[in-house]
Amino acid sequence: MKRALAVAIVMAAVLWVRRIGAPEGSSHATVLAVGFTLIVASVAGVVVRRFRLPRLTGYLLFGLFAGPYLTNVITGPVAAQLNAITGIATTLIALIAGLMINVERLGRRLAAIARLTLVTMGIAMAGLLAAAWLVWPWLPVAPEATGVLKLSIALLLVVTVVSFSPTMTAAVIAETGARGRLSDLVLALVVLADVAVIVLFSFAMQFARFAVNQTAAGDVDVLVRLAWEIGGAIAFGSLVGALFALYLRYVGREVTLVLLAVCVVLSQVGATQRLEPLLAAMAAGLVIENLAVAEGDMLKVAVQRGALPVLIIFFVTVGASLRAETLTALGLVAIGLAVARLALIRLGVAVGIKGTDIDRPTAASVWTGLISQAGITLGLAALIAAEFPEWGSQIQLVLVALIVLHELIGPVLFRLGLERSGEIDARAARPLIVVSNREPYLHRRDQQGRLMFSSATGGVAIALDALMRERGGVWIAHGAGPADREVVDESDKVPVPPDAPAYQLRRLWLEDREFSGYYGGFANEGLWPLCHQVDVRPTFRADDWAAYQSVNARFAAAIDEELISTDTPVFIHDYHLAVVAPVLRERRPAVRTALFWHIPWPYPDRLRICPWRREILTGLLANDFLAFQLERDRRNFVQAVEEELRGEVEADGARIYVGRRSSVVVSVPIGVDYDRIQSVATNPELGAEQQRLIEAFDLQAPLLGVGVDRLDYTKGIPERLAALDLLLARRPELRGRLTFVQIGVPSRSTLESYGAIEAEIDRRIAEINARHTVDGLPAPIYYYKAALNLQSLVALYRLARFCVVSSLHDGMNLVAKEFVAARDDEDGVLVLSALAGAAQELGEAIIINPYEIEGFTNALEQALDMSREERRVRMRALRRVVAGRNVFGWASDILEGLESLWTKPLHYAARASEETPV
Amino acid sequence: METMSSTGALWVRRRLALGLAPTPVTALLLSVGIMLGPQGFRLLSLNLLSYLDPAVSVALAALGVLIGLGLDIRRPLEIRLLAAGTAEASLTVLLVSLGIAAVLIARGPASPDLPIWLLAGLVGICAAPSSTVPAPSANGIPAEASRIADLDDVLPIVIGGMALALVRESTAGAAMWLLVQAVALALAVAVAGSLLVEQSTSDDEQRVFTIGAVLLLGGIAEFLSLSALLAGLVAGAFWNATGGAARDRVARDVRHMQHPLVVLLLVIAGARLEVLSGLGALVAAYVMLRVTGKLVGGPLAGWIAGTKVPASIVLQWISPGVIAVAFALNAAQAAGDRAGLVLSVVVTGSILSDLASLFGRRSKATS
Repeated sequence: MKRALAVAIVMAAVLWVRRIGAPEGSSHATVLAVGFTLIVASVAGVVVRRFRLPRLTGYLLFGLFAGPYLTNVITGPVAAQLNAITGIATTLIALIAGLMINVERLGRRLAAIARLTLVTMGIAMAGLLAAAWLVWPWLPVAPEATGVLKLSIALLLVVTVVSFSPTMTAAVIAETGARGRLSDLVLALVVLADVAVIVLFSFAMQFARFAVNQTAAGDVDVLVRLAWEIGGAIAFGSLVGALFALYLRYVGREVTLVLLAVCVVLSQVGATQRLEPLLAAMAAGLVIENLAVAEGDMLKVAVQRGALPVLIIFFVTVGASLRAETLTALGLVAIGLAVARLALIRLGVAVGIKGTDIDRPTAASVWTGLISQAGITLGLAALIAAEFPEWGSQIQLVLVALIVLHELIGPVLFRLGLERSGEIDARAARPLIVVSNREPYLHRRDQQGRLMFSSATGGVAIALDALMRERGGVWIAHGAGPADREVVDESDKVPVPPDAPAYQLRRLWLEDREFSGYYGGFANEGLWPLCHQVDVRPTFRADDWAAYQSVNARFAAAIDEELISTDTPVFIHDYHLAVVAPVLRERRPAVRTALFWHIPWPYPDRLRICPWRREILTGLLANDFLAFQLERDRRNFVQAVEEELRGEVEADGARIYVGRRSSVVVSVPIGVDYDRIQSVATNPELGAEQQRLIEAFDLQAPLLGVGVDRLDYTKGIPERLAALDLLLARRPELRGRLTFVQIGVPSRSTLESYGAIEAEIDRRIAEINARHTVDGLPAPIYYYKAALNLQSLVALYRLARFCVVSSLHDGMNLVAKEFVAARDDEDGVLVLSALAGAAQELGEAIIINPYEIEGFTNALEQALDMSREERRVRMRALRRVVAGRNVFGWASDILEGLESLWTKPLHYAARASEETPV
Repeated sequence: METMSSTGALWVRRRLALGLAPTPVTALLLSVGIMLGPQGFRLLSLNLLSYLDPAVSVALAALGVLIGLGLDIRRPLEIRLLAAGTAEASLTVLLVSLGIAAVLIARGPASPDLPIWLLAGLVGICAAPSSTVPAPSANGIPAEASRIADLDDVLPIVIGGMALALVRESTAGAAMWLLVQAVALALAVAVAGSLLVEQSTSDDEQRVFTIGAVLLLGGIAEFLSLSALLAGLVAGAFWNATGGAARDRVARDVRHMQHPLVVLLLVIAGARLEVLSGLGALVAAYVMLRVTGKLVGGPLAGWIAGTKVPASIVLQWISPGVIAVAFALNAAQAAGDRAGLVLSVVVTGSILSDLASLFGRRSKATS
C-alpha cells in the first residue's frame, strides 16, 4: 500500500513537472525519465515477485506497457533518451558475464561445457536449417529465394535464431542471487555460444554478401574483416581489461566512475571501429577475472553496488522497444520457431550432456537457461536489416517477435530451473564458510567394521552446525576421525550431517608431526597458557611457530579453493587459526572474514611473552571483523595493537587502523542453544534418562552437586575439590547426604601439563572419598571421566541442587549457561567463578573467587541452604539473561556485523560493561 | 633547496596527519578538467560534455541531499551557528557581487540576456561557500568553528535557488511561485523516497530507490532549469527531520555515490571553462574580494557564534570547496550560455583561491 502511494506521488510529481513545463529551448528530460523509470519499474519488479516471477520480467512488462507502442507513458523521445543508456548497459552486462567466468574454477568442466555448447548449437542449427528449408515457402522472409541465396538467408536466420542472451542470463543470476553449478554452467555455456554465434554470424554475413553479389571482395578480404571484427574485439577488450586491472591494482579509487568510463570506451570505440563491443567487453571481464583475481574481486564489489539501476533501465528500454503488434502479426510463425528452437535445444543438451560428468539435477535444468534472447539477437537482426533491406527487414520482424516471446518466457523458465536445482535460495540463505580446527562430524568404524559417525558435542559446534544446515556452504576443519579419509570425495569433501546432508565438510589432512607442532605445541603450549592467567608457563618454540604458520596457510589455501565468490562470508574460529586471514587476503584481497577469539586475550605486558605477538596481532587484523567474548578482552587487544603496531583507534573504539588497513574489533559474548536445551529439558523421555543416570552413577544421596569440565588446568577443579573437602569437614552431616558428580572430559592428555592435572584430580578425589565416605552410604564425589551427550547432561543438571563452575580464567564457560538453560523448573543454584567470562552476565549466580577456598566453601554452603524461593528468584533472573543471548544471536551478531561493513553503518560500538568485582 | 624540500615534506606530513589530502584537490580536479576539455587536449569535447549534463544534475542533487542531511536545527547552538555562517556568507556575497558588478559596469555589458546585477549576484553567491574543515577531534579545531564552515553553504544554495528562478522567469512573483512549486515537488519526492526506502528490505532495492529519488530531484531541477542543489537540500532536510530508517539508508547510499559524482562535477566544470575577454579582471576581483570577505567574515561569524575562529580556520575558508563550483555549474546548466561567464570566473577564481589558501596555510604551518 505504501509502495502504491509512493508510486502515485512520483507519478503526480512528474505530471506536475510536465505541466509547469520546461523553459523555451530546453528539452532536458533524461534524468527525470530515468528517475521515474527506476522507481516505478522497481516497484513493478516487486509486484511480479509476488507471483514468483523474476523481477526483470516486471521491468520488461513495465517497459512494454508504458512504452510508446502501448500506453505511451514513456514517449518516443523519452524512450530514445533512455536508449542512450543501453549501449553502456549492454557493455556492462557483457563485462559482468566475463567476470563470472573463472576458468580455474570451471577447471576440467570447461572441456565438457565447450563440448556441450558445440553439440547443442550444432543440433539446434542443423535442425532449424532443415526445418526452415522444408517450410521455406510459408516463412514470411523471402519465399521466392532459391539456391545459394536461399541457403545464405536461411543460414543467417538460423544463426540468429539460435543465439542466446548472456546479458539476460547474467541478469537473472544477478537478480536472483543464484549460486551453484547450474548458474556457472549456463553462464559459461551462453558466453561460449555467444562467441561462436558472433563468429558464425560474421561468416554467414560474408556468405550472404557473396550470394546476393553485393561484394566483390576476395577470400583474403573476408578473412581480414572477420579477423578484425572478432580477433580485434578480443584483443581490444583484453587490452582494456589489462589496463583496468592495472588501474585497480595501483590506483583503486573511484572504481564506479572508471568502470562506467570503461564501458563507454568499449561501447563507443567498439562501435566506431567495427569491433564487436560485447565481445570486447566480455574479453575485458575474462582477463580481469582470470589474470587479476584480486582486482576482479574488487571490481565485482563495485559492479554489485552499481549494476542494479543500470540493469533496470536496460530492461525497461528493451521492453519499451518491443512492438506488441509485431507479435500479433507474426505470432504463429514466431511460436512455431520458438517451439522448434526449444525442442532442438533440449535435444541438443540431452545429447551433449552424455559422456560428461555434469550431475543429473544440473543437466536436467540446463535448457531453461538457454531460452532467453535479447540485445545480441536484436543487434544481429538490426545488422541484417541494414545490410539486406529487401529481405533483412522481414528477418528482423520475425526475430523481434521471437524476442518478445523469449524475453517474457526465458527469464521465468530459467528462474524455475534455478529454483528446481536449489540455487535460487542462495541469496535468502547465503552460503557460509566456517573454518575451525575441530570438525563437526568424525567418521570411524565400529568393531564390526561398520562405518559410524559421531558429532561434536560442544555448544558452539552444535550451534554452528545448525547454522550451516540452514545456510549451506562449506565447513573446513582438520580431519581427525579414524575413518574420515574413507568417506570423502576427490576434493576431500563429504556431505554432512551424514543422515541429512545440508552442507559440505572439507577435511584437511595434517601429518602427525605438523599437527603436533601446530596444535599441541604452538596453540596449546604457547597461546593457550599465554591467554589464560594460570600457573602454567607458556612455551614457545620456533619449530612450533613454523608448523602453526604452515597449517594456517593450508587452511587459507583450502578457503581460497572453496570460495566461489568473495562476498561469501568466511567465519574463522579461535586461537588455532590466528594467521589464516593474511595468507587468504594475499590470494583474495576482497574476501570478507570474521574471526571469533573464544578464549581470553591477555593484557599487553603478558602478551610480550610471545615472541611472535606482532605477527599474531597483524594476522588477526587481516580479518575484517574480529570479535572477543568480553569487553575486557577487546580492550586488552586494542591496547596491544596500539602499543605493538602503533595502530590508531577510531573515536568509538570499534575500528582500528594499522597502515592502510582497518578492522572492526568488538565484543560479542557467546551463548548456548537455548531452544534445543529447552526441548531436551521438556522431553518426556528425560525422566527415564535421569533414572538411568541415578542407577548408573549410584546417585542415592538426596543432595546432588555437579561440575562438568574438560580436564584442563584452567578450570579450577583442584580448588573446587578443596572447597568440597572443607565443606564436608565443616559440615559432617552432609557425608552420605551429598554427592558431587564431577564429569571430566579428558583433553590434550599427551601434553605434560594436562597429564599432571589429570593425575592431581584423580589423587584428590580418591583422598576426599577416602576421608569422608561413611560406610554403607554413597561416596561424596562421583567422578565420571568421559563426555556425556546433551540429553544426559540436561538430565544431570536437572537432578542437581547446585552446579559449580570454578574456572581460574575462562573466556566464557558455556556450562554455566547450559545449566541455567536446562533449569526450566526454576530451581538449582549456580556457583560461578568471577574469573569466568560468564560472570559478566550472570550476576544472580553465587559469585566466587576460586583462589579463596574459605569463601568458596561458604558459597557452597549458601547454595545448599538457599530457600526454594530465593533459588526461584535467582534462577528466573539468570534464565532471562541466557534466553536473551543464545548462540544463534551470537553468530548472527558476528555475521551481520561482518556484512554491515559493506552494506550499512556499523551498529556496534565498544561496549563498556561493568566488570564483576571478585 | 634542501630546507625547502624538507619543509614541504613536513607540511605534507602534517596534512596527512590531519587527514587532509596533500594537494588542493578542488584546484587539481578543475585543472584536470581544463586540460581534458575544449581549452586543452579536447578529450572532453562540447558534444561529449552535453552527454554528461544529466550526470551533473544528479551530482548537484546528491550534494544538496548531503548538505540537507547534515542540517539539524535541533542540535544545540545550531541556529546560532547557522546565523553565524549565514552572516559570513552574506558578507562575502555582498562584497563579491558589488565588486563584480563594478567591473562589469566598467567593461560594458557581459551578456545580452542577463542583467548585470543578476550576473554579479550569481558570481557573488558562488563565492560564499567554504571548504569543509576537518573534524574537530582530528586537529583540535573548535567544533563551532568547524560547523560554521559547514553551514555557510546553506544561504548561497537558498538565494541561489531564487536567483535561478529569476533567470527563468521574467517577474519576481512568477519566479517565487515557480520556486514554491519546485520546493513542493522536492518534498513530494522526499516523501515518496521515504515510503519506498522504508518499505524495502534488501540493500540493493534501497539503493535503487535512493538513486531513483536523487535522479528525480536532479531531473525535476534540470527539466525546470532550477537549482538541483536546492531541490536536494530540501529533500535532505526533510529526510533528516523525519529521521528513522529512511534517513540512515539514504545517507548511506548517497555517501556511496558522492565521491565519484564530486570528481565528475569538478572535472566537467573545469572542462566547461571558456576563455572570455576581460576574464582576468573579473577573476582578480573575485579572488581578492572573496578573500577579504572570508577574512572579515570569519571573526564576525565567531562573534555571532560566541566562539573564537582561529586564523588557521579562516585561511581554510578561503579554499572554496566543491559547493561553489557546483553552484556555478548549476547556474551554467540552468541559464545556458548566458551564465557561461559565471562558471568561467568561478572555476578560475576557485583554482586561485584554493592555491591562495594552500600557500597561506603553508606559510602558517612552516612559521
